[in-house]
Amino acid sequence: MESNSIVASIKKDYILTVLETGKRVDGREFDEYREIEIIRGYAQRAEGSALVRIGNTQVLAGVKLSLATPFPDTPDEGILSTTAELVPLASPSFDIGPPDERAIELSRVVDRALRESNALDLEKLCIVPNEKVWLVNVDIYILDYDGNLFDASCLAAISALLDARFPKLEDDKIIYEEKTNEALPIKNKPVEVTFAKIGKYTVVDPNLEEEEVMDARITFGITQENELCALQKGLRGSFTREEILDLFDKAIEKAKELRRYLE
Amino acid sequence: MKVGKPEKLIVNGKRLDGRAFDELRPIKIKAGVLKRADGSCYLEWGKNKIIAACYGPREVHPRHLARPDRAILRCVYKMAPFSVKERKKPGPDRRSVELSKVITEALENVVFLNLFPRSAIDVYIEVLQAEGGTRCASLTAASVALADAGVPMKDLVAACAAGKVDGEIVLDLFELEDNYGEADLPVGIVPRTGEITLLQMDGNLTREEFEKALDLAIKGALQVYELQKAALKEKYGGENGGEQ
Amino acid sequence: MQRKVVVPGELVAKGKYRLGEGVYRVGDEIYASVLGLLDIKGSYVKVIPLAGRYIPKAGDYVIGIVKDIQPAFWILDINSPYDGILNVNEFIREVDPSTEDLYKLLPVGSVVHALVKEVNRAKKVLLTLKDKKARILRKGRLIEIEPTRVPRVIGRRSSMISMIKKETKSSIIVAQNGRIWIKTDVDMTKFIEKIIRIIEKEAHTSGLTDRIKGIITSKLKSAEKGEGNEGGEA
Repeated sequence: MESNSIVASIKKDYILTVLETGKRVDGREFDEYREIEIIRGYAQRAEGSALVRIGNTQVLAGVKLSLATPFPDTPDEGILSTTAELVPLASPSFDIGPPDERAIELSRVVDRALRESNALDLEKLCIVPNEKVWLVNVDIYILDYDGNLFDASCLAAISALLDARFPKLEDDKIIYEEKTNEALPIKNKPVEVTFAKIGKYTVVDPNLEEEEVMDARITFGITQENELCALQKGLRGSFTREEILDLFDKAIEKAKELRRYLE
Repeated sequence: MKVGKPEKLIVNGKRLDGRAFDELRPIKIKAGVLKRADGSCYLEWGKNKIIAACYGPREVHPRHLARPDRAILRCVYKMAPFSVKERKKPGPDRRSVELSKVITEALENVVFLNLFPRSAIDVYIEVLQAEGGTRCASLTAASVALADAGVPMKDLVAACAAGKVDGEIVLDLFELEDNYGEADLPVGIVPRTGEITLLQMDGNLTREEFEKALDLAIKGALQVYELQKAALKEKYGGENGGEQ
Repeated sequence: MQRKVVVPGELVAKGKYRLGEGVYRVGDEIYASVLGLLDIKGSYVKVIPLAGRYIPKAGDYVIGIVKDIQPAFWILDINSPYDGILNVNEFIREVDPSTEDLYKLLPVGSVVHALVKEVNRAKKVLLTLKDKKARILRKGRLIEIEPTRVPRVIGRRSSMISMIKKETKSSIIVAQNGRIWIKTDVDMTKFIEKIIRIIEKEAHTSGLTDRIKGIITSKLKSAEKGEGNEGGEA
């Protein structure tokens, strides 16, 4: 999440000097995540929600369910829609107004992981083919920005989906006040793992300082079968073929670690 | 009668959530909950959950809004899509624009804006979970976030609503009372001087009822004020936490 | 010394006092205007703020980052609501802007330790490098702390910062705008950064200098024994 503020040029020099010693500015190993915490059920008017903290980064995701007409090309499938908001309280570089390109990229990359891993069994969200299906809205709300929004947002989204319970449906009307015990049809639990490339070094879970000076970024969406379900390379810098293959292997290992927080 | 209105909002002299007429919902306030913001506040008021963050004084964007003799204050009230029963579409609506305006004006009264010419002080308020009475809760949280950011103010602004439900004047309406009661009167005050800086009313009240409701709301706001002060002091170890 | 934490609007004194920062008077009564620590010395009352952004004033030293370049001046971010202006004739040496390239002298992203020469009514902040403490900072670690904690990092008559510099044998510049520059090896830089974060967090508590000295001493001891190259056990 590139910020648009001016960064002191000595900052990158220093971060690189530290990386040369085999450690990172905050003392972490190259392949080490910051502390992770997930609180499910944080926003109780949502059908499901989760607050995710990775270090000082805080992301809240809420799931709302409603009824909708299916898309003509998928008449017997429910609809999943993911949006992300870079809420201005999270960073001086986030503005009020419609989502900018950073927010749109973020929501699309999370959406891709959920969709391509078949996280939700959309067919089970069909009520009457061609007529009525469940619409699942996942809204991702960035509350405090200290780097690595992709991984935090994906964790929040899948945690909120796992937390969600169907509301009562009565005479084709949703009674939001009454939640059933029925969970959403979750088929997969994808996670995203992001690396930042700074000079010739790559580190997982970049914090804000690292993001400010990174040359390139790559995010792997990994299914619970350790397969790739989404990929996004960002920024001006580049990766070699070998680097990408190596990072894919590392991402699979890190994904196992992240998935433990979804138990 | 409106659809969904309970038959009675007051049963055996108690309100539907069990409170007495002059009783506030439980309130929890915490200052300094966000790392990036200059100041912040997390507030739970009944089932309302609100986060407010303050940035500033800082450069004004767009520049032509800058005032040569003072800072501008901009509060933005917003509801998360999942904060209400039926998902709220992201983006500003007429209600949140109006609330942002009255909250800003209520706080302009206490902030020493003249100290920071050509700058902006921004307060962002996000309602994460709503249960009625979010404007008073938001104003209360915004005021704590401003103080937490070190913005000079003549006082905090504390807020609370009163209203009329089943013919009774009650304090701090929750969602059902707000939706189906006869009147809602949100009040924001400057506790030190007693000045009223936010005042709206929605419904029907006689002169006598209005006076009673206004006094009740002021009493409620004064209780809220004590919680605001305690939250700010708590961040630094309480009243006598400071040693230097 | 015990100091009361006060909030805006709180009554702090009554009667004949001279007013310092963070207070205002209404008739006979004096109230706090900021969240801070109440400080009354004789007939002088002020509130030491616990939070707040840096507002520049003449005579302050700041660390600025070049954010834009104009034909005859640089615009610097000085971690404040107002930008700093460095005119070409306030550069370290004489510069002829018709022959020399300002983009080469101080490119965007350059970091300087500058003196605030003047703040005019329009809030234009004029900086100068024509001062013996002013300099361009190359290499080293730049961090930001709450500007209100700067006096604590410096300490009374520089006691804190002098002690840290002496014990760790490092170059450190603490600027009024909350920016701190550290230059030494990576291990020691990380350690100093950690110490500064402790001071920032515990600024309002007592016995801080002794506590910090203790942390440094034990770090240096363990470093001698060949342990603790992780930046100390702070």
